[in-house]
Amino acid sequence: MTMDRGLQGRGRVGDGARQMMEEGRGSDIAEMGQVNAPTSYYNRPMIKKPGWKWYIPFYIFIGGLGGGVALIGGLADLFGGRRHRATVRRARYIALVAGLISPLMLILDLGRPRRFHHMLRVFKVSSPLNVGTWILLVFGLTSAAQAARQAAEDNFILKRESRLGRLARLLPGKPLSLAQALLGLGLGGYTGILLAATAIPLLATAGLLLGPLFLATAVASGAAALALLAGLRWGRTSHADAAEDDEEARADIETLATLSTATQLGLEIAREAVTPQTIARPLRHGTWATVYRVGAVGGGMLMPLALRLPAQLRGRPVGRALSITAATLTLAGALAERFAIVEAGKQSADDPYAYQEFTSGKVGSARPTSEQQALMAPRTRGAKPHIAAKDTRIGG
Amino acid sequence: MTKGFFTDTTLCIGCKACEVACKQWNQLPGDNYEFTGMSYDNTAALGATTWRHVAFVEQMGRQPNGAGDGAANSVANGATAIAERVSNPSVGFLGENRWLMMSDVCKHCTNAGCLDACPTGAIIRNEFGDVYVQPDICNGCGYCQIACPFGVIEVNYDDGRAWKCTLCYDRQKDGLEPACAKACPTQSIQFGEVEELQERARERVGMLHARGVTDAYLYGVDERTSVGPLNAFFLLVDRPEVYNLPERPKLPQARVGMHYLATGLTALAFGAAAALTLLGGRRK
Amino acid sequence: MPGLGTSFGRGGATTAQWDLVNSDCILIQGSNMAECHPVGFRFVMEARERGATIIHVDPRFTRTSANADIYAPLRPGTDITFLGGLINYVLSEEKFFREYVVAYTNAATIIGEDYRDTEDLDGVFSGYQAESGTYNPTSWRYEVGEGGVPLRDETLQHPRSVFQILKRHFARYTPEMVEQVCGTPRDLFVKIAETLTANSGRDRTTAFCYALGWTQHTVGVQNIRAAAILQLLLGNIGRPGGGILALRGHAAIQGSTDIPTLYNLLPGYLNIPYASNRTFSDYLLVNQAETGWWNNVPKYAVSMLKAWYGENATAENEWGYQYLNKLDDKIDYSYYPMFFRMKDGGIRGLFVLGENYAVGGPGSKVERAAMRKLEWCVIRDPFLVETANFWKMDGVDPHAVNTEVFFMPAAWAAEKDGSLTNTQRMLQWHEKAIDPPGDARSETWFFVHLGRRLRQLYAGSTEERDRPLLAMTWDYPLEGAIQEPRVESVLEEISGYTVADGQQVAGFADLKDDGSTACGCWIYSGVIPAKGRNLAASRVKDGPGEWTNNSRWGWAWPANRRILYNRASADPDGNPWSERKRLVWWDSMANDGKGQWVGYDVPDFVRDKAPESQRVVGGKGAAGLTGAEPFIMQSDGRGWLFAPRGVKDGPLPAHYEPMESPLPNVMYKRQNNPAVIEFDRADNPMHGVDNPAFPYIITTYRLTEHHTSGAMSRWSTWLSELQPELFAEINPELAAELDIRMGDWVTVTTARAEIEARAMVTERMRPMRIEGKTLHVIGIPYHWGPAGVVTGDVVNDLIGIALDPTSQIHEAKVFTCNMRKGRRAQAIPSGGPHASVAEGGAIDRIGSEGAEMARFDEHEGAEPLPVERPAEATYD
Repeated sequence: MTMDRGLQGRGRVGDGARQMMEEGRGSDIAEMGQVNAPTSYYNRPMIKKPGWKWYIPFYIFIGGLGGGVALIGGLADLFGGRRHRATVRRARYIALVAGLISPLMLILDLGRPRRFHHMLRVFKVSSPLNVGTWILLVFGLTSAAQAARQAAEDNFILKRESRLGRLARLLPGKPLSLAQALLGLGLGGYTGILLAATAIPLLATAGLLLGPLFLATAVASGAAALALLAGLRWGRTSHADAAEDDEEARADIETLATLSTATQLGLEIAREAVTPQTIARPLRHGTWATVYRVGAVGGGMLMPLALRLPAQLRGRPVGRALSITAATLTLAGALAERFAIVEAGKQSADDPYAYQEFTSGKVGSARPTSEQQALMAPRTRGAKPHIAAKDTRIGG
Repeated sequence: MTKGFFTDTTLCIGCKACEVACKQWNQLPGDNYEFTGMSYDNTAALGATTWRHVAFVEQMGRQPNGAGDGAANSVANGATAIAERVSNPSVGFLGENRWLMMSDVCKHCTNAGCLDACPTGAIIRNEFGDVYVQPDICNGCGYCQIACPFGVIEVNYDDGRAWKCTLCYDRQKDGLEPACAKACPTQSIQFGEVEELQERARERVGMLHARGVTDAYLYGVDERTSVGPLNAFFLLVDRPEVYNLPERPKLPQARVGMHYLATGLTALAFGAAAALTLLGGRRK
Repeated sequence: MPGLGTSFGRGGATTAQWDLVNSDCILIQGSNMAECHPVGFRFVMEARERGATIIHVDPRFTRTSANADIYAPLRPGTDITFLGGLINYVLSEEKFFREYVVAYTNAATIIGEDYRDTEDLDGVFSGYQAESGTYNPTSWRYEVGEGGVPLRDETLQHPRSVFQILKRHFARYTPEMVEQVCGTPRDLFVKIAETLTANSGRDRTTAFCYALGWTQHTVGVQNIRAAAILQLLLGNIGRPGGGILALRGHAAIQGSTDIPTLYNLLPGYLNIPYASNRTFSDYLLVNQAETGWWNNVPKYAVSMLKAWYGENATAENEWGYQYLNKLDDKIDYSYYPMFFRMKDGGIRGLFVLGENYAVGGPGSKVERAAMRKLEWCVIRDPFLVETANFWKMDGVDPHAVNTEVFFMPAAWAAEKDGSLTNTQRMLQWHEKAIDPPGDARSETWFFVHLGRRLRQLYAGSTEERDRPLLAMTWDYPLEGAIQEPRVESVLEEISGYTVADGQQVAGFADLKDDGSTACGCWIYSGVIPAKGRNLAASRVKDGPGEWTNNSRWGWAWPANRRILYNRASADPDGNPWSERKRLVWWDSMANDGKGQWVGYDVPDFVRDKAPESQRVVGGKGAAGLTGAEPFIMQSDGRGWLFAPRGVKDGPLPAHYEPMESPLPNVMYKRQNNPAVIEFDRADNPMHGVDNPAFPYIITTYRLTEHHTSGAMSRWSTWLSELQPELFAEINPELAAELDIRMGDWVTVTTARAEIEARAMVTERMRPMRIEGKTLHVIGIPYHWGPAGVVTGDVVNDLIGIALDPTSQIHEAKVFTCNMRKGRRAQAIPSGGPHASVAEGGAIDRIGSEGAEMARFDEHEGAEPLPVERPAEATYD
């Protein structure tokens, strides 16, 4: 069932239908039966799209950010030496906040939130969501521990000499930092696997690239967050950390930021390259495509690189104003990327032709002309919306 | 001993008794009263409250046997016998004018995406080899919904849990056949042991070929796909996508190991890079 | 079913649905079996699997066509031309089964000299009285010799032999004519003719299935007559895999003609006496036949009267004959005349049971208006159906309606014991599963207790006019808290017993005309041959490999025969026509040498009457027939190719155009059936021929998903969602002309009414090109009305009323209309039955307040429905 690529991309589901219906051609699918023209069941989706609310893309953003921060914070504690003390402190506090918000988002999105703990009934490698939940759980615990320790040291909320404070300071700092770093990587990466291991053409075709891409985005946003705070000179305790230390620390972090953003960009270009046109549609046309290209790629990757690289290539520190701008753009870009990919995924799931191409394994095989689609479309009103109705059987 | 369905679309008269029997036995609500304009199909798709769905496809005035790849993996057992008894071989059903009817249902895949994806273990393979969602475990995360290569399972957002065909697990436990198979007046839906059904199905394809229905072939049997053989499989007379089925369904988790690996390596790289950067910064 | 009754002797399907698996070919015409009889259609599917060829002839490509080997389109209302064409083919190509035809039909019989055919009188038969528009059938009689025995010419050469008349009559029904009239492609028609004949004869048999697609025409009876003639010529009657299967419209319609809800029949097809039949002997004079089975009428009539009036029925008082209501010879009591009379204020009160003709009755506007003229009206139904809402439909002000309406909640089949008589004359018993909710009661309960109360009211009256009420036996035992009558005792009375000892009779052979036996309905006699042996409740299936007539499943009248006239499955000498088609044959060894009829079915013949036994001259009843005359109900023991009596519009079928048609009749000068019953009234305007205001042909029908007027199905959420909205099927060409797209609103108009529906634009509907004219056929199902879960306009409002002269059936399957894009002008009047749905919340099971929801779950299993029309329902 191959057809010439010339047909690709012409007409959108529905357009042709409308025009055809005006000619009163009805829902006749006569020639569909004979020639091996691409066909479809009245342009109905072939798979279900995610029912996720805004919680999920936001979680992927915040979780990724937390992961990135934890990675850098953890390694900074291990290798960064004293001038990264502020970095470590910031990282630990942010990790805690992320570690608290993330599960909240996930639980709010559940159909039965009170059953969130069922996620922990099993450990299932085949289910990235299950693996992720475990990572998130442990990450939450280590983050809490590290944050407590940090608070006690900072005499912040938790009194240094209080019983609890002493207890907190007994926690094994370095091992926890190592754990944080590793968990951070997991947290940043698994969400990409979670989306790639689905039936949604756009995400499944991205395949092996999606995990790394999401991880890169996570590290980038983590670095950006730390760089931003450093730039704002937030979270420094005058007695301990010298200003110049922190400036140098910021330089390290910005190196990492540039590194991860570059990786991000590379992986994104690769993803675009491997995705066939029929399937790539939602990230090439329409609102979310714009959000993705302008927001995520332009604002979130190209701009920050453009702002930092000149200085960095010349081995000079990036100006504070520039740094703050770059960091903010990266964060906004990451947020845009998360939302764009999830929403585009929904559109992709609704497109039977994308799914046909994905499952037929023949690139560029099945995008019918608007005329052909019209012949299959039931009516301009489109197929009926699915209405979930309350199940009458079991109460809770 | 795996139990499943053989749905023979050449015997379907589109009465939708399966849909009603299913909803009655499983006490699913009637929930949409809109005229879709999709021939006689006002159900449109499988979903949380629709576990059997009869598809209708009108193909008038086609060249007989012109359609479909008819990739028939058939053994012509008893086919000739039938051919002899055909009173007038020159004519045949499913010829120039076709109105295809097909009762779709959960495929109960050998390698089930929903089952692999389920993070709570709510989705299990029961003692009859079928994929079953435990309503008391499911917490409605909705991940199975996008992990199903056939768009079958769905979360009912009023109820907060994922639902799909149970292959009448409760009836099977009592030694009864599923409600849809019981209600089908023409044996278009046959229930039984999968191997046995597959044998019968291959024979059936052979007979149909002998009677001139050369488009007939089996979907979900003897094809190598990552979802494996389907415990609910179909006899079709046109390309799968005509019935809204994927040509070669893919198991989403087929390469999940590779995913972990690729991401892991990237993670390693990032870790190393970060460590080096930080160390480098220190030495300066 | 007069068509079958006149041709073969009994007004019932000649075969059983499961015998279709033995067919080599099945012609389905005037029926959409797959959709309207899906469960019975399994046997057609199995026949196809066994190698039979399935043919479907229909104006629409339906779910039946989708499963047929050959589909042929046909212009609605031209079935006689199509079947006539087949008859002509069979005769001219010499493809008929000669031995069968000569021996078992009246082909050789010679018709009287006065007879003139439509050929001679260009469109009418002799005996036509123009002024009254009726036929006097005297000139159609057989020519009889001495002893009143009809004359025959077995060479079939006599010019006045039925065979020759047939040949002349159908000569003009050529394939070309079929193409011209029916719009069926010539070669397709010939292919069908060849297939039919190739699958008929000694070794092969073909079965016909028809339903309301043949009956609902002004030539309905003649449609079926044409099929009967064809099947007799092909030798397919009384043989396995043959016959004519009349597919009935309801679960128990056959039962309601056997024990009739008809105005002119008593149980067992005995006629209701006319006032002119002053005495019982007068009655017998007109109803008792000299020869053939109807010679037994006295036995059956007396036994029935004994069952009704017990000891009050004596030889002295003519067995209570005078207690019976008599019909006024001058008044037509049939359905439509009754409603027109009601509308003109001629009827005061009305009972409505299991009917929803405010939607289901053609010209339903008339019915609704008529009911508003009543003084009182009793309606029994499980739901508050449209018919119970007539007083607030059509936008009338309820205050202006003076009818007092009593709504009685009714029980459903699952809530009561009883029997249903299905399409193949088979009684099946059903047991009560649950108690009816609240005040809901069974029909039996309602009538038994109504009778008891009336009798109490009139107790002690000496008035002669009150005698019938007081004289009747009304002592059915009552059981349980709600005093439910024991239905089995009713069936026992129907089956019959000897008056002396109250023992059940074995069958109608035991019935006497001396008052010693009582039997409510002679054809059902033997269903309970002994107390406690209810054969209708028998549930024994034939095992695999066995002959599939399942004689131990349920009980079929008469005498549990599954295939009627099965004597014809053997040749005149009593041997099977062929091994392959063996069914009933004469075994000379059996019955210790005396010989008797044996086989796989109950012989439809005198068991020990040898094939060679001759006619007893002047012999009465069966004695008047030979051992080789299988149609024992007929006075001459033969299948009637030519009907000397019994059909009011001619001895042979002839093509007349439907009352409303875009085309003139090219066959004869006569446009319509000369004997059609018309109603020339202001409230019943007709379109006539080629009316430019109504250019399209329209036909109405049912879908699998709903049941008739939707009185039951539109109250079930599960069925409602499967076909939620009224739609009209239109071919793409017409849709283009009218700029209609799939799913658009369209308005269909006739001179009677205007309704709106969704457009279903589909290639399954094809425009017809006839004589350079393009004809568009619009199809529209009639399941919707303004009450229920899903609602819609009333299609039957569109139909004008004109009736078949014999059966008084209307012409719902073909009339003309106009169509335009968009919704109809006036909206559904507020306060219409919509409100009743709203008020009642979910499903109104009236009388079961409180129990309502619970029982709705039992019945429908779904959540309460949102009020108003639930377009996008979220169940809160």
